[in-house]
Amino acid sequence: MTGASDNSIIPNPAPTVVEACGEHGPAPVATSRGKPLLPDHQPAVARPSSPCFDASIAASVKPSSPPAPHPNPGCAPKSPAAACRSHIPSPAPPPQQTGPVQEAANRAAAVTHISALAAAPAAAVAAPANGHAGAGAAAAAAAGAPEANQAAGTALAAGPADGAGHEPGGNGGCPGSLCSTAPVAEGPDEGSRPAAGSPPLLLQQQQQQHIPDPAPQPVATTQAAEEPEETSGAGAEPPPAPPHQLEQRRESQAGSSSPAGPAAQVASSLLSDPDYEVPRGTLTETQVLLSLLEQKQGQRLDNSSSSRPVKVDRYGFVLAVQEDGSDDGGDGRRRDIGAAASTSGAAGLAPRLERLLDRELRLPLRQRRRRRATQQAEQQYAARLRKWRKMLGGGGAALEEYRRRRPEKFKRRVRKGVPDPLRGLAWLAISGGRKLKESNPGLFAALLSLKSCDAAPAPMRDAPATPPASASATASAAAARYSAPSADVTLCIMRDLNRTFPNNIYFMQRQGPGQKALFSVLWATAAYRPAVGYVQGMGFLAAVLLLYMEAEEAFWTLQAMLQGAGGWPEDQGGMERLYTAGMPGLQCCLYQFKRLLREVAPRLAARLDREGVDPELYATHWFNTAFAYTLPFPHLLRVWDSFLAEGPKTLFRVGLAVLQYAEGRLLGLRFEALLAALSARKLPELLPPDPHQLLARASRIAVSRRLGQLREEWQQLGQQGRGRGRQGGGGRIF
Amino acid sequence: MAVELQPTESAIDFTLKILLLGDSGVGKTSLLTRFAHDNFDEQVASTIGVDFAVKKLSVYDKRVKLTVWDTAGQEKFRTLTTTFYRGAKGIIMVYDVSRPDTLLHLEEQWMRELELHGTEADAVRMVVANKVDVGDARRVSWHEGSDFARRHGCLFAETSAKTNIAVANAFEELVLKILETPSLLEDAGLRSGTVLLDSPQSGYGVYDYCYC
Repeated sequence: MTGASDNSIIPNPAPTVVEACGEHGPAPVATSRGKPLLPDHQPAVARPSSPCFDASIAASVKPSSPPAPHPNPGCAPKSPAAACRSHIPSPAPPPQQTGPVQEAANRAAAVTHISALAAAPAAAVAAPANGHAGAGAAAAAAAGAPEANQAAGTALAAGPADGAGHEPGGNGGCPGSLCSTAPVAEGPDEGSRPAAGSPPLLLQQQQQQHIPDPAPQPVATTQAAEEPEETSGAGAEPPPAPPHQLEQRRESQAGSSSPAGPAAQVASSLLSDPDYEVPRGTLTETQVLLSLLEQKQGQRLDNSSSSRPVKVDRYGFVLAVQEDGSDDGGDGRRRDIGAAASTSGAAGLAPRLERLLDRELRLPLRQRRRRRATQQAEQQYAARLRKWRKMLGGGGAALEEYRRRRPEKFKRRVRKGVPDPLRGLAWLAISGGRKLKESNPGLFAALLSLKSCDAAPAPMRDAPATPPASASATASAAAARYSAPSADVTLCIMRDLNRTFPNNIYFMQRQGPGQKALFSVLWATAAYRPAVGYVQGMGFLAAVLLLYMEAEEAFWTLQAMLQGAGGWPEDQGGMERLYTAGMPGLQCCLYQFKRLLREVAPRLAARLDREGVDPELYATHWFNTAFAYTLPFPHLLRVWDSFLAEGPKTLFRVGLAVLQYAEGRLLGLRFEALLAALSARKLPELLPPDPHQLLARASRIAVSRRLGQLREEWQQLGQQGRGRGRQGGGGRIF
Repeated sequence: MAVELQPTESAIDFTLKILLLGDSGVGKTSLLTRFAHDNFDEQVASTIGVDFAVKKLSVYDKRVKLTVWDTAGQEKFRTLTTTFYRGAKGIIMVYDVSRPDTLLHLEEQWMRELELHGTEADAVRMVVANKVDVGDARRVSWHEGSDFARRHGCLFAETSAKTNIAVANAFEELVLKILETPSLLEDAGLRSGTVLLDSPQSGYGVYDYCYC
């Protein structure tokens, strides 16, 4: 975070150290917080005292230490952004740091290769994006933003309202970092919104680069410094105004594992407050990867203005690239602004200002209504977050108790969906992974340190953390009890790393942080459960978890799923039998599903039977990957909320609901068309667009009792010659 | 050219089931994607369970519809995937030229599975050496591959789904061979009638190593 050295656009090939200080705050969902990319990744650089605080804390949080001068000269012009970076605490930032936003922006514009950045521009940009900016200062600030932005070489748009987006930046590089955010936005009507100005955290050295305009989808754009230790990136996207900025903002603060100095105190006090518990998301890294990708792209395009950022959705899945800028009006408009800024600098200011004023002053009534609705939604969301936070307690500790005491209420809340910022934490607790983790401290690291993963090339091997000294006892115990998976299994896992969510920015980089984490989770699982080893499909489970938690947490949550340790009904068992030799669990599930379908959608079932389309042909991965292979992410998350709480029966319900919902469209189809429609690629087209609708339908289908009966039936069939009920499936002649 | 892709929908003379087998990661899905949709995606997810594609061809005067089944390669899935063997007229066994073990496994595992679960004694089998674009990373020579195929009475082709080398040719050759095998066509005609073909004269295709 300090050096102002020139840095290259080229991402360091060694992925180990890239981190993002900034976060993006995709709307309601955004939540992530920075964390070390890798378990073993230790920040090597001693950080100057103040900058360690990169963070975004809820505005209400007031760190007590005074702002320290930022070491980086680039930061000198103190802008709100700068204020945010250093832990400036007071609600009213010191004068020099609170210059009008516009001034800050202009200054930033003046200082071109400056690193720092971004907060101001981002804040400014955020306002217009939101339509929340007041006409006056805010508009001006917004107008100035593009230049600043550009000058800084980064396009960071803070999710406008979503404070959430900010995460404590790269903890790895910045150990004690806590992100604190000072209110930045100064729009007349925005002053009070903490979120409006949340500054993306910032970055180190930025390379000058014009970022084409961030699109409605989260786009990240950042630079990574070359020195590994110091690299950090920030990314933010300008999503539509998110509903719960305030709450999210609170969530967004992150805990870092090794706080240092004053930052440590603040961090630790925050961390002990359940209100500030945050799940560990990985979107921060996602953002970094995204930006790396963009850099590459920008380079390839020779930095011409045509360079286009890769667009991803809020979960990091890459969206189809638009061929030209004709996406939509709003986008085009913003692009214009960016273009003007890139070419004419300050000269472009007036027209843009005018446009902004237009937009702000002549805000149609409809828009105002919409805003009111949004505010309502925000309040509801905030209330939900509060409830959930209370239910979870610190770190999810209170959840079990709550679940025991109010099972119905718990179920109802889960079915309504876990608020995304709390999802990682909630999943860990709900599934029982948390309990497992606590009862086996250090085991994950110990498993990873098992010898003989020779097959794994060096770059992969550094993913596993070396266990801390204190855990050496655990390690030796583990070494005695568990053995490393065979080279075959290791290779198998590695071969699938590139093939697990290859379209997600977090997992797409070869040997990037996402793949390393995935490898470590799967490898440790194979060591921990030799009977399972690695089976294709498990990778998708782990990958979904890794988008919300750290490797160790993901590992234990996965174990909980495999052994059914959570609140899953005893008789349903865990997912493990889906993966053991012969996959008995899977075959049983498919049999049960087929029979249930006859009861739930008899006409469709008859049609499928007649055409020979058995569940083996389309539903294998529904169970094997708990729908992660096929469902769109927003649907998947809701399914998983309920799946982790209630067990595999949710998968049956969802599968049945999907077919029931699409029955009308499927009935007229023949064999091939049926298979095509039900394939993993096409299935999303059959779903209700709103995840809530899918879940509501699914929860109306009663399966629990029948599942038990059907399992017994299947077991009897098995004794008479397994598979009788499955005749005809793959046996179709053509 | 005797073989013309994508005839009109109208009349299909034969529907043939083709099965893709081979270890995980040898490129079965990519071969299928190249053949059926003529594209290649680096970022393809592992196949979980089974995938399926349809492709229509005209072979001489016959219109043939291929239903190609792409199975999961991992061993654990075999209990599941063997149910798909039934009725397959053509079996394509794929190995990766940069991984000699995948060729070994064809012999040790896949051929054995096929004998156990295949229902068509005369099914035409073809060994396909995929990823010939790898250059220096290649570990299995053309000779090793073709010897192997000859030993087991299979057709042989070297392909690259990535750079589109001989993918369509391989499938076409397989189809031609199937069409030359009357016993395979008995239940393959959607419309009955004579299925005897004027056998195309040998020499079609460069990869003709049939010793069935």
